Amino acid sequence: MIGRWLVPLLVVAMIATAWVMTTSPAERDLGLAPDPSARTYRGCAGWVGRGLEGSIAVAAAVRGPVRVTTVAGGADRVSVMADIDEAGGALVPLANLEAAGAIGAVAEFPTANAEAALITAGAPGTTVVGCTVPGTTTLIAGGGSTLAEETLDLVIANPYAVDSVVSVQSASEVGTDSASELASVIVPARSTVLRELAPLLPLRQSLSVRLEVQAGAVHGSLIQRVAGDIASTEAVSPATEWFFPVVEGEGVGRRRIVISSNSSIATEVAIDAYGPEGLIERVLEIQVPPMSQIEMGVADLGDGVVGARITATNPVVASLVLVGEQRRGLAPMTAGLSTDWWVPGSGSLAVTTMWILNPTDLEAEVVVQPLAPNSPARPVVIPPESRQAVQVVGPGAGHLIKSSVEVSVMWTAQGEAGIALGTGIATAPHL
Amino acid sequence: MTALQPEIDAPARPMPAVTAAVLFVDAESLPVSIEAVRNQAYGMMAITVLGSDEAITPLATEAGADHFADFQGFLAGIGSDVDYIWLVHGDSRPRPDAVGALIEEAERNEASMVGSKILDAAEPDRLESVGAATDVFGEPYSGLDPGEVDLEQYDVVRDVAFLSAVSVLVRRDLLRGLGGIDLALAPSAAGLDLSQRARIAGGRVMVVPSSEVLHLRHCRENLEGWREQAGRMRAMLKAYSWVTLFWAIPLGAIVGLFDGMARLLLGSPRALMDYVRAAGWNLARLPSTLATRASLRPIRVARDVELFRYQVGGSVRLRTLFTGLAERFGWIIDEEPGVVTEEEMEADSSPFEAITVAAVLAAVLIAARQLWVGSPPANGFSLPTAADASSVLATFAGGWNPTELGSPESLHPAPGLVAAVQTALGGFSGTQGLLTLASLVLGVVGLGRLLKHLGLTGVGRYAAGIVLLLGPFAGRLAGYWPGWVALGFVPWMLDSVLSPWPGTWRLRAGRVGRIVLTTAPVAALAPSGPLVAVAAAITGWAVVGRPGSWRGVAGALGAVVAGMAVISAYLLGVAPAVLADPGIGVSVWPAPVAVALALVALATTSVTASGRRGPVVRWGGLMLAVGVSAGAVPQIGGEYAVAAVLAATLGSATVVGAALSVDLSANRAAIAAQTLGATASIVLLVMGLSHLPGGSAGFPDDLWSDRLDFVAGLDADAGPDRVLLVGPPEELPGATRVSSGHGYRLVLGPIPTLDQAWLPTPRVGDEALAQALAVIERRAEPRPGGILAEFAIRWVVVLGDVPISESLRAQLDLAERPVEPGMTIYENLAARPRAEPDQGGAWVAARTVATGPTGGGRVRLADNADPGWQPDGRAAGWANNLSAGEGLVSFRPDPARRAAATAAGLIVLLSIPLTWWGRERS
Repeated sequence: MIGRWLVPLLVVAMIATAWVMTTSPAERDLGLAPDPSARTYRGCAGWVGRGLEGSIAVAAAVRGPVRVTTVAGGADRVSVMADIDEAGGALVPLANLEAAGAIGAVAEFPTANAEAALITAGAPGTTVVGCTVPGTTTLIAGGGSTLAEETLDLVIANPYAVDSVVSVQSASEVGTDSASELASVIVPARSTVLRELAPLLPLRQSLSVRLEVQAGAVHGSLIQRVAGDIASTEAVSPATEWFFPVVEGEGVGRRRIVISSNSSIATEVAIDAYGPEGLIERVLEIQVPPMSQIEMGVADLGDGVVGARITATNPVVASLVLVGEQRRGLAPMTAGLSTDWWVPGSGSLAVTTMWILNPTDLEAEVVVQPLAPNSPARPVVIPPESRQAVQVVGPGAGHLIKSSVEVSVMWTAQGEAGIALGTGIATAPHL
Repeated sequence: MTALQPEIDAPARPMPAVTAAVLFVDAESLPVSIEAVRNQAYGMMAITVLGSDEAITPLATEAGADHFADFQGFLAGIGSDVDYIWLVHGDSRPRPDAVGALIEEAERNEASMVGSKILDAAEPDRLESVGAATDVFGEPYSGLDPGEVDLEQYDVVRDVAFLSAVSVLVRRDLLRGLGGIDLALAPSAAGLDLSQRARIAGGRVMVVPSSEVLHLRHCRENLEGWREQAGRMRAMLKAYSWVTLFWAIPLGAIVGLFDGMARLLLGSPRALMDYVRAAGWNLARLPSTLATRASLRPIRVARDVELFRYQVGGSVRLRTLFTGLAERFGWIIDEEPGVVTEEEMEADSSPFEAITVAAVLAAVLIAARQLWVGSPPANGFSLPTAADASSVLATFAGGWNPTELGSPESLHPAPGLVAAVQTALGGFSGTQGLLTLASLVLGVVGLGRLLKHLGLTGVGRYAAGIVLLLGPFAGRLAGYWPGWVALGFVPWMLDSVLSPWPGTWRLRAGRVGRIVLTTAPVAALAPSGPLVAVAAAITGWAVVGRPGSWRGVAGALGAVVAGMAVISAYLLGVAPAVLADPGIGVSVWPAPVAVALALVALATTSVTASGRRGPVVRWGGLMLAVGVSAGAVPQIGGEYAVAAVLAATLGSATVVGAALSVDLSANRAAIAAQTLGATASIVLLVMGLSHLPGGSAGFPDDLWSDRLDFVAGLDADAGPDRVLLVGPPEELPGATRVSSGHGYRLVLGPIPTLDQAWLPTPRVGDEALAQALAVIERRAEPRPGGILAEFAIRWVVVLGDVPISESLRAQLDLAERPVEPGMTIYENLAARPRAEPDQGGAWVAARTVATGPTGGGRVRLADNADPGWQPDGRAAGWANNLSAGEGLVSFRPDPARRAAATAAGLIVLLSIPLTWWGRERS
């Protein structure tokens, strides 16, 4: 009789013990997402031809080979190998292009500590488009215009092996804009797509486009043509903090600030200005409507302003636009500050001016180093909360700027054919 | 009992009047038959020939007999002065006292229909029929061996299920009510039909062996085999009530189709064709069958149970099928009933048991239909076998294992077993399904047999087969095909081990052979499976007593040794830690409610059961506990976990089998407790039957059968392409390696095959691949294809949202191909072949060899470097660099493992005759 109870009790005890012993399955390690800073290549979208010679400027921390590949029409168009010189720069001309038009380019480096930019220069003007880290899902380019006598082209490049699908939305002074042709743009692998925005969204004084990448990876840029000049800007990722030094140039009449938001809610924006009396906080507080943009003049920040900081409650893209008689320049501002900057192609262009904003309350000891062998560095001191213009000349792939405090860098290249406005590229400190 | 109760002889008429009806068969034998009838010592009132052939009239007239074309006319002309009608085949020669013996016994036993002993006219000492039993489907079971000599061993007047229509004596009024013999039926079926109709009309049907009739068997000439089967179906349709037909028809169909398909697989396609033709024949004659059935309604006085009383349990067809198969191996499926006496028939008169066995078989076959009709759904470790069975066998026998980047490590014995059987069957592509089918059938039969030998009676021991194969614990093996299939063989292994040790050396030798034969498939499918025998023997020794004596433990250890011997080629080439590798992902815990139900069934049955049920249920409970406990030990995984699940599953099935056998003779409280246990068991059964609609026995859906077809379609003509699969481990086939929280693995060819399911220990190349993937995932290389090309990876397939998806969005040499929805497929534009020569033409790399043009130079083989590769093998990084001069590079197999595999095959082959020779003869 005991056995009748004993065995079931024993079984229950064994199973209960087993239950207690059983450990819950460990949480699955979801792994680490790819580190964008570890990528050893950059991509860009641009336009070459019709008198515009293209080249890729490279700055890298080590010597070694760099491979530049341009694509169009589903295939590689040009694949060029070059060496990074001892100064850490390389300027790779994109010769032998069979036809002009939109191109996508990829620069592959021997190290992750490298950056690249697509430079076009010629009779129509000079443009510089920064190459960006691939894989970003939201890109914004602002500051375009489709007024009469102006053309604005959107170039979307997919230099990779996977087809991409991109949703393009636009905003202008009239609010959120739309064009059904842009709702879903398929960019096949190793191809570029060019959309002329003037026919689709005519007579916008200030137009920004937002690329939402639904599949694959793309790079985007806006190509602005006005009488006597050409300008371009790359599409970049939104951020909550932007800086810019106020730039000046011959023939530049107005300087406009465009702030574009991809947030689905209204974004509060505050602008702190750096003027003759130092920092003036919240000189302007405005609201960007959802999925829209706002525009204002630099002059609206006050007289003598040399720079500004823009902070937003949601990620935005802030762009600077230079407008003048036969002059047009546009570029994103700098997303944050850095002690190390690269100004691509500056030495190969015409007269180039670097505009360095020191927003800190410390003096900035800056060294401007040409990316060309045997070129001497040039020291510059910038007082606290002020801006300094530094003119550079000479051959090479550009200049490295190393500062003792964090600064913001933009640059202009002035020539007979107009003005080019560019943004410094923040780099790793050991570049 | 009013309609056609046979009239009792009037006292005033001591000698019943008989008229003979000779059923025309052929003109040649008719005169002889009429003469034999006329020469009966018991005088006939008249002799009538029945038949519609034109030749009858002159022959009948010449012999002085009447002639009617059909029964209706004949019966109408029979007067009330006739007491009996003797129906005799026109190709028979009754001995002179035949009808006299029939009348004497019919009168003495008050039988309404009596039949003669039928002997072969060509060899009069050979028995053809002495009455017979049937199963519930009308399949006759006489118990006679073909050509069995008549030694009067069956000369007992007894009730039988049916009589041969060659010679039967029927009361006149009964025959008139029945409308005579159904002439549309084949001879035996006609006898069955008449016998069954007589019995439901209240008549007693008996065989009288003292009445002997020699049968020329002309009636069987030119008779197609399916006609008898068709006749039996028609007889069943006419005799059974609608209630019985409701379950008998579908069950009969299942049995018939199963039997037909099984024989088809065994190379005898006729059975299936016969079944289909018989069914078609009945369908065409359904109106006339229903009309005849309706005409019986007024005279039906007995219920179907009166027919069941004289039927044997089970299905005669399946019994014949399995007995025939098992006899080849010296096994006994169940006790052979021999010639069935009335007492035996009544003792075995359990159509419910037959129904249960058939229903359980039908249930498991239907619930697992996707697994045995073709290949199992490809997912997890349920993968199809490679088409090249000889290559898999060579790999198992010490050859190169091409899984991942290749290894000299052993191949799991399960694909080796499938390949061996496939080779033995001449490359039969359905081998895996056949093994699954065998497991299902053997599992049900084997569990019933094991529990019977342990002392359990009743149908619960068969119903428990559902829990064994489909229950919650078995569900833990769903997706791990080898372990799940092993479930069906485990009861046979335990039966071999736990049966009492025989007393003679011959029987002992047979037992050893049986242990080897039953352990071999378990060990091959689940290498740690023989440990279940040890657990069973020890626990059995502790609580069951009789079968679990110390010799059982010794037998279990013998089973372990036998199992190790059979898979020695595997054990010699694999690290012991691999057996505990958790990569196969089997865990023992089912839903808590299933454990609770099993415990309720155990407790209630253990406390209240009498006789052998108590020890048996306690043994099952201990097996369940041992399995669950072993499976819960963190260090026990892999094959040991499979063995733990096998033990727990068998234990749960045993508990259910015992709990379902409610003892109705117990007191009221015990019955109430047992009812609770039975209810819990039924819930477990229902949980198993929940797989009926899906038909996959809980196996996950097929994911891989055709998803990689594009690989074959876009083959690079350099041998099967290597495919890198990346995704959540549970979605990938077989075992996976893990990187950054997701799984990955390589597949060679367009479909992941069973032999690639288990991963060998990582080698240098595998480590290099892991590092390459980490680099691609972390740094998002611009040209990942170039990196993967070194490993001869031509395709990358990504499932789900894993980190590498993000990395591959922006890269330059893995082109996305929109081939298969649900997966992201990349073709490597920089792909390199697995066998890459440094000069000359292209090479083709098969699973275990690579060939190319002869000449000079070297060839790089993108498999893990190993000195076994020849000729002139050198390591080139992690890969092989070989001389290309001979145009062939191959792997030199491990001689020890090859010898072990050969020895294992010989051991199994030798155990077959040993088992046969040493079988227990009844």
